[in-house]
Amino acid sequence: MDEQLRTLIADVLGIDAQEVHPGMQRSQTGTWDSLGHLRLITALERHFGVALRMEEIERIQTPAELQEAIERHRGAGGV
Amino acid sequence: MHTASSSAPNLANVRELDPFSLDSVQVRRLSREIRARGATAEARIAYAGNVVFEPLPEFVEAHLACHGVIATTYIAPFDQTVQELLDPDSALHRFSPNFLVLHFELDAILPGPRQRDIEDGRESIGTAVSDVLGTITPATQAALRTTSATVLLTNFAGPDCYDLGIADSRSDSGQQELFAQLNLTLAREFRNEARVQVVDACRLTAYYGRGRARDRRLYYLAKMPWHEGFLPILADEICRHIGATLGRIRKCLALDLDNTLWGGVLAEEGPLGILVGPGDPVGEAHFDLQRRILALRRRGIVLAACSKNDPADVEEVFRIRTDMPLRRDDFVCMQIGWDLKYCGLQRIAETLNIGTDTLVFLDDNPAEIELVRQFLPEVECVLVPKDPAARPTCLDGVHGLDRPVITAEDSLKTLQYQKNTARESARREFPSLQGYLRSLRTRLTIETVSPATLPRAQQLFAKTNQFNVSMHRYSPGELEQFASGDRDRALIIRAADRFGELGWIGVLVLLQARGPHARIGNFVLSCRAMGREIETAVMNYVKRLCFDRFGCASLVADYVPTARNVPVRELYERQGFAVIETGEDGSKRYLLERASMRPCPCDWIALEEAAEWTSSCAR
Repeated sequence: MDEQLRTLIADVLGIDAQEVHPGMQRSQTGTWDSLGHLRLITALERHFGVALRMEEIERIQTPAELQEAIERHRGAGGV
Repeated sequence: MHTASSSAPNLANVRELDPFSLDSVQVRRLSREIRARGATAEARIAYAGNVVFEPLPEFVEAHLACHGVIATTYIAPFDQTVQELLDPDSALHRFSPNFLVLHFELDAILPGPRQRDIEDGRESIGTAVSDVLGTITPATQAALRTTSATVLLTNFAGPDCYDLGIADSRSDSGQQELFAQLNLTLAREFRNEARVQVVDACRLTAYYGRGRARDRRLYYLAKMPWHEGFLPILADEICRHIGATLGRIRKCLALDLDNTLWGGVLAEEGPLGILVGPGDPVGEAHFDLQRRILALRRRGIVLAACSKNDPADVEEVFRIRTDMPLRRDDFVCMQIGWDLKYCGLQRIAETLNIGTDTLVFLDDNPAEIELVRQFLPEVECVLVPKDPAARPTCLDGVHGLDRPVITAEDSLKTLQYQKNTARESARREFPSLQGYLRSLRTRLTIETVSPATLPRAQQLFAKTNQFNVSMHRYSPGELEQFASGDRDRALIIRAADRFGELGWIGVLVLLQARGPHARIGNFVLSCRAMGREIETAVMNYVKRLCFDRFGCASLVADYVPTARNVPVRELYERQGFAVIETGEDGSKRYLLERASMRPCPCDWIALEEAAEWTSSCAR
């Protein structure tokens, strides 16, 4: 898992970086509520220079899916 | 790139940070740190409206911290503004805010179908506007009635595209028409309400880009109206309102001249060679900068010059170059010579009787600025940008130059300081101080604070640092309560002398005025009214009022020391009060009993009560 992504997730959700693993579920992480999710998305978008679509934002449930979405957009040349 | 946590912004280094450089992650960390520290917050900010405010409050907290203000936040539940305000036991009231940010998104108050009726001509824009105000005004009034907070009310951002496209301006019911009328009506509705400040989201979103300021994804998903990139802009504006209301203001702008006020060096180019005005691009830029500086004068900021030149040359420039927006008499103090700049700045502060921490200094020389920063770190220094095109707006970042309200006193400030200089020279002609004070023929008028004088009273509490005895800075809300009750009184003092009006120069809060044990909540006096025993005349009046008219048995007063209020350290001793308690911090509590009360000599000041006040005393 991307280390920058791990640090950023930990930072935004206010949890220990060790706790962040690819399969960690949004629904089972206390601070990853709907507001935390949007905070996370906007922080990642700024950091990685991408912009996700609304449905993607809604669908993402784990760090692995986040990483996949970011890579998809970066591969497509950003947006 | 992501900042390593070792160099991360934190509360220790926050004053040196540019708040605009902070991203949402850093802002959140700072906000957590502020909350964890649990220090007393100077700004207690509540947010209410029909949106999800997060993460705006974190940005506001972080920006305020960068400006030296600790803030704490309460966010009312979504769309429950009125319920929270009208329920006396609500969490909002328990939080007891001194600021309330109200934000309403238009589409929730004026739903799509209604907008369609307007476009179809079935409903007039006027009706729609009064309906929208019909939601906002009662909520705002409820806030004014049930809290003592200053309300920061956002106006409407305006559309980023028009339903009628390029033909919008042809229609009476177009969106330009709707938003212009909405925002104008909103501004007029609260123009004279001291406790409502309109946060101009319309200008801010236009400045940032309306299309970029709104993140439609976040709005559709979660009713979060703003794009993260816009939040620093909005937070900065909210900080300006809060800082100015709390009295974090700068009173004097000290200006370097060469390559600052004008382009070029006077000693080399001569008065006709320096660049200000049309015909030269650099001259045009300096012309605009001078116009913007002149506008600061209207806000009540006084201007001073601090430069290394020959004083005669500078006088000549102002005599010859009458085409410059700024004239010689726009400046209340000139420090022209070959001294170090910080010495000049100190003399400016002394001449105007203000603290160096209320100065802003503009200079084009980084070395000069560095020196001032070393010797007078409290002065806010601005370096003139290298690019002349950036110069006209170079003072826009200085929050201390903003005023929440501009009173009549403010626009006359330059004149008043000039008269003070005249009074100073009159003083030199008199052999004795008494003779001088008599010659001034000072007259005071005292009345209770009314809605008309409330903004000025609040401003005096917010701005006064030297003659501020208990340091309690009464808020507009507290002052309003005094006006409506009969027990406590806020007295405002106006002064005039043979040189003219000094304006409203002091406020004294008298608690439990009708006794038997009255207390002075605070007494503030503007620095331009100090040094002529106005305080003695006012205290004589207060003693008469309490002991003779209201029959009080005793009068209590407090002094709380700060680095700046040295002039009032022994105010109450001089007025015949006895110290009954001394705190560890040097604070003192005083008592004056009826038996030991006597007026202090001050027959050179005439004092008059306003009729309204006399009748309310008799009541």
